[in-house]
Amino acid sequence: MRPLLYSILLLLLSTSAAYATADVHEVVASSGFKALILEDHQLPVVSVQIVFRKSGHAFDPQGQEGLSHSVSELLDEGSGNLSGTEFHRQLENAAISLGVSEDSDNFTINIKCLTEHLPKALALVKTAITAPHFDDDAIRRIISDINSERTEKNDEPETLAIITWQQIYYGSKPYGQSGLGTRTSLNTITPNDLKHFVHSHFTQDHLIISAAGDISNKTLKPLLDDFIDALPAKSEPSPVIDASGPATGSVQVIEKPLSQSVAIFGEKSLLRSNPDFYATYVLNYVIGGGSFESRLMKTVREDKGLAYTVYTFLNMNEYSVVLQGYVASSNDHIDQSVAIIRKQLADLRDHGVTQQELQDAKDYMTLSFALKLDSTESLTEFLTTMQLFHLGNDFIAKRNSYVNQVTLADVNRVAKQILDPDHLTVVIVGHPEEPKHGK
Amino acid sequence: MMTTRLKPLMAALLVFFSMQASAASFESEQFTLKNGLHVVVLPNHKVPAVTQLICYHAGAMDDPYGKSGLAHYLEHLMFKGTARFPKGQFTAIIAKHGGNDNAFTSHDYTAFYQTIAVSQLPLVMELEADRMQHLVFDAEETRKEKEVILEERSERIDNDPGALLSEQMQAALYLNHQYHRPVIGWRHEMVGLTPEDANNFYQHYYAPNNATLIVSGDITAAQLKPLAEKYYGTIPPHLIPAHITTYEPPAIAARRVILRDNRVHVPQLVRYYMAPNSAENLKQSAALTVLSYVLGEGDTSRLYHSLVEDKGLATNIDSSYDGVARGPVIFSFAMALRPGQDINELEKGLDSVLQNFLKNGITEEELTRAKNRVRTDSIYSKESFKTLAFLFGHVIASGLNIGYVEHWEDTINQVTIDDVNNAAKQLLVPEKSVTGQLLSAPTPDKGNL
Repeated sequence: MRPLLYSILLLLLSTSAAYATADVHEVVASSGFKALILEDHQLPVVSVQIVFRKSGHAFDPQGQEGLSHSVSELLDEGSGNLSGTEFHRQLENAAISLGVSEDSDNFTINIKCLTEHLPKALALVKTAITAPHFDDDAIRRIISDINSERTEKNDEPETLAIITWQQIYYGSKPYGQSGLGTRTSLNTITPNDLKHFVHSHFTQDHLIISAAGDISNKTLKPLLDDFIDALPAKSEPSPVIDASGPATGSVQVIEKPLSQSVAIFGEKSLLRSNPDFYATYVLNYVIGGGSFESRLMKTVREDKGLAYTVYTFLNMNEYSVVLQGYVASSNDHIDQSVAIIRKQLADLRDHGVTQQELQDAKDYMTLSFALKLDSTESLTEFLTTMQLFHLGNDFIAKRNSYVNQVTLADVNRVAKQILDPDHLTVVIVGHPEEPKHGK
Repeated sequence: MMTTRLKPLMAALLVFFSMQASAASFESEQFTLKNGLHVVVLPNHKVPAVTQLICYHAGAMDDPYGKSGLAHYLEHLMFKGTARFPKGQFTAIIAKHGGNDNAFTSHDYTAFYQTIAVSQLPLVMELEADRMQHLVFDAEETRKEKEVILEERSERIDNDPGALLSEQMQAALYLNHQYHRPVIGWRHEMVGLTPEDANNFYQHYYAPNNATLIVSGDITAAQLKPLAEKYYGTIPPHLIPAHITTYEPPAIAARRVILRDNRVHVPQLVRYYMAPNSAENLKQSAALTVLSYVLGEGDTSRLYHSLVEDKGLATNIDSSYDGVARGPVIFSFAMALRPGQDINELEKGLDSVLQNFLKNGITEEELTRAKNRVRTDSIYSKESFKTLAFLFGHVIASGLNIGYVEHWEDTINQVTIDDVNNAAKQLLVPEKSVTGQLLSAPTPDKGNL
């Protein structure tokens, strides 16, 4: 027999628009908290994603940059009556995969395990986020790890370019932070700061939970109750992130002894909540999101052989979205690559995308949608996005119609609005010849 | 090492390598067409889609001497079109139908794949069958694509001192086997590759009787067979040159590779040991899989516990072993030096953990944990029909059969404490090793590279 998930995805692959969406549903805890789940009982596997909103590194207090990342590294280093070693041992004996990370906006915990071990997994996570030890030894070691991580990232051309790009674009504002802090800021962090972070951020009002796989309302509800009751109800008020007035138009070269230069470029785009979001999404596909079908791949790589990799994507934060891109070309060609990119952006701003490009983009986006949702992890991530951006529980069913509603006029209006190639912010890492930077 | 047509795919491949997955009841079925094309079907009805993966049993180890990188260059040229579907059409048609496609080259084989709605399977079969026979080698297109692979080499290897160290260590570990050459090729040889070289490789190796077709997803063998016959069955087989098989001489000297690079600010220590593959010795290979897990995979491993947590010499540790290959394989340890520590102390620390293991052996708890992890990863691997296609393709193109995957969990379950301890004794011999240190250069000097 075919699982229920199959029928949803089959319908997504066909052109029919009318189908049930009963599969994505809410599990309501006794406290009233709602988690989203999508059941798929084919394998005894379950993934759970636990997200605390407004707890990412953009919310680190000034002077304590790197705080949320330090917490993410320290949660498995001992909590409750378990040492770090014992915590790792209990996870691994049950082959539970646990991932803890933070981005600019949010703090995320990913669990994947066999169904039988989910109670154990959630119990361990509950202890970790409510009663972490934050021992001095562990703090010292983790801070040294993060300092080393920062050094290593600065040695990677692409990462260095991205970090620098954010610093230039956002300046000293929160989204300009890499999350890894500085040697100085990490040194100021005390066990009390870490504990304060945990108690003020890991709260019910920040919480989002998504579960997919071999799980049901009946099995999740008691686990959910137990988990949620351990968390404080309310957080302290969070600041609104100031992402205003980003610096634009600068080109910065960071000299490194490389044979190939790496460039990161980008400019301001529309927020996820903007009604023109899907038009932007289509536009990005045409520019550089559509792999070999994109304008940049065709011009920079296929027509000229100037790069192996060139692409763009929408770098989405809650308060700022950037149309961002990457290209790597030899030192004597990077200038030409950036020039071609500017020219393509100008062409799209002035002449828009063609009807054929619009149709091709829509065809790919709608027909490929179901193929992305083939593992429990990708499903939980999707359920989280639905909750973060209030997309509605019927979003999986409706999403393709949103894409299909985009018109040529919509895309071209957005292209005129956001594309400004003369004010592209560009960072080049390497040893570029003739640094005119594509102007 | 693998190298692919597009960068983002590497992540997926790395996941699949770390899984080493398999277990009973993948429900695989196989058949062989009259022209010799071996077909494997992996039914998985979770999503109404399929992955088609074709592996040609020729890879970088089959590059003629003096022409390293040729198999990979041809992989790129396979997207340059045929008379029927000219340049750009292949990927455009697939994207238009919501599919994704890509390709990669390893030492052992070259693979091309597409993931698409099951209703479009005939389309991708037609496209793949067409380019098995009718590839066009256009002078201008082949010239531009050579620029692309040179950029790829810059991006993946030359811009990454860690990758340069791996390349040097591999060249030092394999004294005689073709694996001593990088998949992507040495730059000075890549520059000289010609369309004629690529066409020769294509004519020699791209034939139904030198390929395995894997179709994974919402399909059965009964449904697939007529399609496979229709699209691939008419392609004539031809005589395939035998692989040149070379063997390593006895290893009599421990080797050291020191790479100094002024771009490095976090020194790395890497140790390679030459290890048997699964075809050579399945039992030992299973024991080595357990050994790698126990010594260096994850936060409960011996090396993590000693060098990261206890002594604070390293910030992270990794260990890996994949026995699926045509030739002898690498068992590796890699670690990053903690700031303020001495790399030679870290190396002593590594050797002391290994000596301790050789003396005292694996514990019952460690063995159970490793078996649990393998069983769980096997179940996870069944989640994705894409992962399964890669896994089976990897196994079969490396000369093993589907039974290897189907029985992998049993094979691991039969591993005993003695097996692991014996495998460690045979593996951890200094003469079979290369120790690599990646260090900062004292003064900037570009000429050193």
